Amino acid sequence: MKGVVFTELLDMVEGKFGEDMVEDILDDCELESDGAYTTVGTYDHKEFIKIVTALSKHSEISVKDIVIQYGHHLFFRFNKLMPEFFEGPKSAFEFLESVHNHIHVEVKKLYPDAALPSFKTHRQSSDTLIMIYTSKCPFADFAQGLIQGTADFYKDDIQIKTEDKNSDSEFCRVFTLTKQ
Amino acid sequence: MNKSEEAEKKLSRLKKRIVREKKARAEAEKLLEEKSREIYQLNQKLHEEARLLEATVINAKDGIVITDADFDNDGPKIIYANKAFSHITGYDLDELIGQNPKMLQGVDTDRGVLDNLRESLYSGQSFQAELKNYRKNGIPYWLDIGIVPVKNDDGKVTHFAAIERDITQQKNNQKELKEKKEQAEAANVAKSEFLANMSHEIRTPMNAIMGMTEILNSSDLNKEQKENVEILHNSSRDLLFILNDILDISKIEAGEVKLEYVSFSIKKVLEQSVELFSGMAKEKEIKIDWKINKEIPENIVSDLGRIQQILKNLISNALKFTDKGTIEISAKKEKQSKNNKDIIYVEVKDTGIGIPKEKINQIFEKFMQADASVNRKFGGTGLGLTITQKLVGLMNGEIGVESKEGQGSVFWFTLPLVEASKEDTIINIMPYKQEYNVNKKELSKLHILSVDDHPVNQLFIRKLLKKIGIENVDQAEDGQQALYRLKEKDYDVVLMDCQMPNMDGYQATKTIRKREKITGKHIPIIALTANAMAGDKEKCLKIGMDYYLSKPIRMRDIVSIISNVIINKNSMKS
Repeated sequence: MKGVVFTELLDMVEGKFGEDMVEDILDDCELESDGAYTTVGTYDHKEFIKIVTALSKHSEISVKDIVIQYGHHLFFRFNKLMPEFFEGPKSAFEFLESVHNHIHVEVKKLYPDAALPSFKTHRQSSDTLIMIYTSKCPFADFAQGLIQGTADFYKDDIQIKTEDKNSDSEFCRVFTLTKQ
Repeated sequence: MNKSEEAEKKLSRLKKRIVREKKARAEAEKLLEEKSREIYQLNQKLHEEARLLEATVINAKDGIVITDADFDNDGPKIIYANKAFSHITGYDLDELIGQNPKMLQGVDTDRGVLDNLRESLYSGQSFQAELKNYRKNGIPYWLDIGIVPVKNDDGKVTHFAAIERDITQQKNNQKELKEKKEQAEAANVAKSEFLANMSHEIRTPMNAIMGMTEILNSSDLNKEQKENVEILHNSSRDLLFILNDILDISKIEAGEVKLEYVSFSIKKVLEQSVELFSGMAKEKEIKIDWKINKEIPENIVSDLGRIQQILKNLISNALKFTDKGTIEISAKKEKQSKNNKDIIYVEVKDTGIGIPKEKINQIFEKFMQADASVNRKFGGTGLGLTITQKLVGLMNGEIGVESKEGQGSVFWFTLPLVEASKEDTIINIMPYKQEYNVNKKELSKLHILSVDDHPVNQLFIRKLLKKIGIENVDQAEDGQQALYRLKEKDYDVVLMDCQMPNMDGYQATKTIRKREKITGKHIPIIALTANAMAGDKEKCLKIGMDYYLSKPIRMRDIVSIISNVIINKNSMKS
């Protein structure tokens, strides 16, 4: 998992809960990296799980909610950090459709070792987009937060329905997005 | 927790944080260092690749030009051209950049090729063609052009790269070669035509010479005179064989041979071909035999004359080179390996001298006999097998030979096997009989109409017929006269020359057969022709003639045929 996901997470924690919370949760976790993250590094995704689990314990917010919220937060950060990806798409659907074939292709060019999830999309109707998340890592909630962030960013009123279709080999969540 | 404890804790956290930040910084620096090195190495590699590509493109002998892929605003423009391109076109680089390559086209540039080019480029396909363009000074040049679309990561065509080779010289050479080839071919055709005509012209007097020597031979001569006449006769016959071969090969090479497909019994053809050589085989004490596999249909469709000629050539060849033992001719049905179609496979197997290993590959070449000494010993033009091979080829067949020196040879050929349908008219193949017991009295009763425009031929035929006891011979100079005579009088046989002024023998025969449809009669017509080419016979038989004799007419042949007419007539009566 790319370092930016960790640095942004810790920044968010610091912003929302204060510096002490960052130290508290890092103290709670045994991390191979010792919590010394850089945006350009690559780290074990299990460290992310450990951090959010510790945060949940300290903040009494469920892991699911934390991860969804963080996804939502990160979308807006991405918009600041990488504005070039936001130049083309004019709506949430258009943006989401560009993730798999454009954004992830570009990310791969910069970070050939990045393990990216798959985000296949197809439009069922002009108002409904099906987005299928598949990954080796259990971060469907994180994806959901990002999707919600997208909808809010573009100010599109979208209802999100989810259905998990995990298998032994990978995690899978089908998002049905319907414009209201 | 008092204030100092709290300060302590804060300090300890800050220290921890500093440690973490330092570690992160060290790691970031390490990653940065690694990335920088990686980028440097990749850069070096790219630079090297670019240097090679650039040097290749710049120094290439072929013209290389790159255009954008903007079809709007007057079409794609040149963004790069190498030195060779500038050299070929005569334009400086700054005159080329920004221009549409169509500036090089002119009045004679093939519009069809340009349409294809445009179509290929529009659809993002590569394109290859030969095209005429114009240099800056207006002089046209030919180029072999290959254009490939250059695509970006998304598969969108961003540029076109073209490699152009100046093939003007090559084109001129090709044109020159083509012209020379056409000239040579025309000369060859002219030569073949000349040979064919000449051979034909020589045949006419040869016919007379041979006929007359035959008549002379059957008159009262002393022993020495008889020997001399025989030498004269045999030499004339040999000369005629040579002429026939030259005539055949010339016509084949001039492309004048047309296949004549008819329906006939292949069994009878084999029988007749073997019969033809039985006398000669008997003289050499060689056993000659034939067999045919039952799978072969009774009647097939093919070129009868050519099959007869092929068999004749192969059998006479076998007979020529065999001094003892046997000659076996066999035919069977086979499947062609490449397309599983039915073929007829015929082989002529002898126990003769065979062919040396080193000569076997040349055996079908013109004027190529196994040995120069062969020619001295056995004679012949060395054209027989070439003619045979070419005829087999014309009929979509194959021919080959297997041989062991001193043990004999097997010549084989295959032809497509097509069974005749029930509606087909089957050509009647006469068995070749050399001896007939027809008495002179019966012959003397016959009334014969001889149709020929040549007085020497008329005289010869009259003499020939008289010699065998036929006195009642009327003459007609052409087809029209023949029709007139036939109206006046009933004849037993018509001897019909084929090529005559006013009305030829074919036309006359057609008219006779048409008339007979009303009368219900059928007069036997024997075609006499100086055309020795295979195919003539089928033409005659197809048109409605009953028998066919190629000039020079030999006494025994005419006796045999006329005897046949009498036998048929008698059998019809009984």
